[in-house]
Amino acid sequence: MTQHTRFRRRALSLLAVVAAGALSACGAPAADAPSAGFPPEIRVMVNNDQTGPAGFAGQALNKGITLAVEQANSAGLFGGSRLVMDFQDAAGDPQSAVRITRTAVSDKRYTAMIGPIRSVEQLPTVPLVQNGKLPTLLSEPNAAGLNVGDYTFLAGAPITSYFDVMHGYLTSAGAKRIAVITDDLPSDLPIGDIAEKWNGVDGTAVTTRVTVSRDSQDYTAQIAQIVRSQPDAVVNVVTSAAGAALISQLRQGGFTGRIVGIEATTSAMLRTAGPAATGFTFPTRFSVLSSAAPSTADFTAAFTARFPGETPDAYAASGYDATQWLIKGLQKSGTATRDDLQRALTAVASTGFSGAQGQITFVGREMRVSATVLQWDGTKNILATDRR
Amino acid sequence: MVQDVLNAMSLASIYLLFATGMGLVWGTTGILNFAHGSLFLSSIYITHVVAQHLTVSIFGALVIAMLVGAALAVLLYACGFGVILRRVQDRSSAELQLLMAGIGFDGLLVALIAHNTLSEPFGLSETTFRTSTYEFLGAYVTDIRIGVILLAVALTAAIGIWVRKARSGLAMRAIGVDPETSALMGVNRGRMTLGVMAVSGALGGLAGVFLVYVSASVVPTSGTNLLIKGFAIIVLGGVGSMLGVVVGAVTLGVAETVINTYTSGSWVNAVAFGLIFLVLLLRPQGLFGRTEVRRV
Repeated sequence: MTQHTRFRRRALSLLAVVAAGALSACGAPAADAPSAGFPPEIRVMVNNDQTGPAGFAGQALNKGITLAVEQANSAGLFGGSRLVMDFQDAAGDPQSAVRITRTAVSDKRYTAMIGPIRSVEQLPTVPLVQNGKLPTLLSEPNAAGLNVGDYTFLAGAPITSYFDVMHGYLTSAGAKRIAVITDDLPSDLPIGDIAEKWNGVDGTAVTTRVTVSRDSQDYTAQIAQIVRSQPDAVVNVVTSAAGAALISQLRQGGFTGRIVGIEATTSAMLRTAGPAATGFTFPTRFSVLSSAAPSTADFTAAFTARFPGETPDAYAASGYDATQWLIKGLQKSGTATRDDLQRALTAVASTGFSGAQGQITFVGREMRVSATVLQWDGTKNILATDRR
Repeated sequence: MVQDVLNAMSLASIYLLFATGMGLVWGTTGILNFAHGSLFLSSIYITHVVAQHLTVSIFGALVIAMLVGAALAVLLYACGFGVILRRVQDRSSAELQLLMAGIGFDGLLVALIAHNTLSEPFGLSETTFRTSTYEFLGAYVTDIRIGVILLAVALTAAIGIWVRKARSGLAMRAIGVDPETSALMGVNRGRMTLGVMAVSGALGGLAGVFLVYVSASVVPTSGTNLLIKGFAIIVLGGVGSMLGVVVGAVTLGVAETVINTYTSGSWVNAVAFGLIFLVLLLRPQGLFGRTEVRRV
């Protein structure tokens, strides 16, 4: 072997190390050597609704998942093995979500499961995955009672963990008297509880709290009750058509103060509420407008390259980060067995990582992120407060 | 108090516009149209799509929604209900098939709209109409709410008079009482039923536009939620009675407003439907329904 050849080999080795390091810095861990611990296909069940009431969220989540999986497979993170996602659609039906979960639990080829999305689907499935010892990552864990055991991983920051940011926002805006509107969904009630606890803190007074039914079309009776309590601001955690109706009818009922809400309030909903929704403000785990974390910009660039013409939303970012947690767990475990993955996911949670949603930390097996506050200007969301 | 009365009246008017079309078909042709909710929904959706591409005023929106509702109702009769009624000799055995045809048509339309909208809310904010709010005796009321109350009263009265006094209205009622004899008396049953279906669909479209202007938006399941309420209103008032539909709508509207004002909103359906259940225990034929007599 000549000196020239040795130099070329050393240079190539150095280049490979630098390339691997660069890949790690971008959030994707370095490629490992082929591992005997992985089967040819590492199968994961994805139990996110693609149709039904949460279909829009599920489709965005699945795009984030797809991007993370494609990045991992193209980087060869599992040696000769490939990570394969089996996308199923429960269409918002709790029974279908349970059926898909039973399949994932009983079929030992599945290493883990991601989803479901809605609290009415999640609550009956978490005891099943715990009993079946199937590591399950819930990317939208907003209901109480989901953390039932060490096989459930709350792979999305619950809104209750960051909704307090809105109290600071309202206080700084001079809104002292606050009314609260919730519906009776298990995911929405805890958010109303948080807002109600602001009563007496930093001079805030909660004037009234009303619960509405999503099945109604007319909320003027509740609106009249709210207006009579003379609040400066209304916290409306009701989304979808009922949320738009509440915003619109609040303005029709003579309310002129601030209206704040939650991340699940989509642009489509705000658009249907028309001019009444202008100024609506809400906290979110992810926004392309945030410049606080480089990893957010990396994700946005990768997403728009993979899905041309589309802008990632909080659901896509959440799906991406949940899958990053899974990928890091698989790499750490070195096998696709459920018990090893459960331990590895717990270990990853103890250190945290940088993801689409910025710096991700954990409390036990629950994800935490810091929130960005957005405001609807009548046609699009603008940045009100960037995450710290 | 004024606010509560206005709220109850506007809610009852929306229910009335929706239930009148449904009750008209049920009371005259005997067809319980379970697709009425999706006719209502489709009218809003098509109007929403048109308004995204063209400048549409409130009157334009009403015309589009009524035409779409009428066309879909006629299509449903021509391709579904009419075919079943022609093939089945015994009317009672056709009832279940008619019910299933309605549910099937409803499922198809709702699925198409859910697919196109990803189940996200949609409305008519693209039209040129903007709601104005007025203060009246310390209460807030919008122009659209005044409009819906006036229209519901006028339209229901007109339909009531037409069904009772006009020749075509009498012919329509005759179909509901005895289709065979009415056909022998020269009533064109097929054409008359098509007409009733078209009016019913148009009323669904009308209710849809007003509801969206009142509540901002709908989702693909909105029609189903309203269908259950429409069904309850007709049963409470008594099938075939226009006055019954009015009383049923007002009862449900007032009950919901009172419950929403003085209790948690999650009790609305339980108390409102519990009230209807109690009334039906005492009067199974509904408040203004005829007692059915069977000769043996």
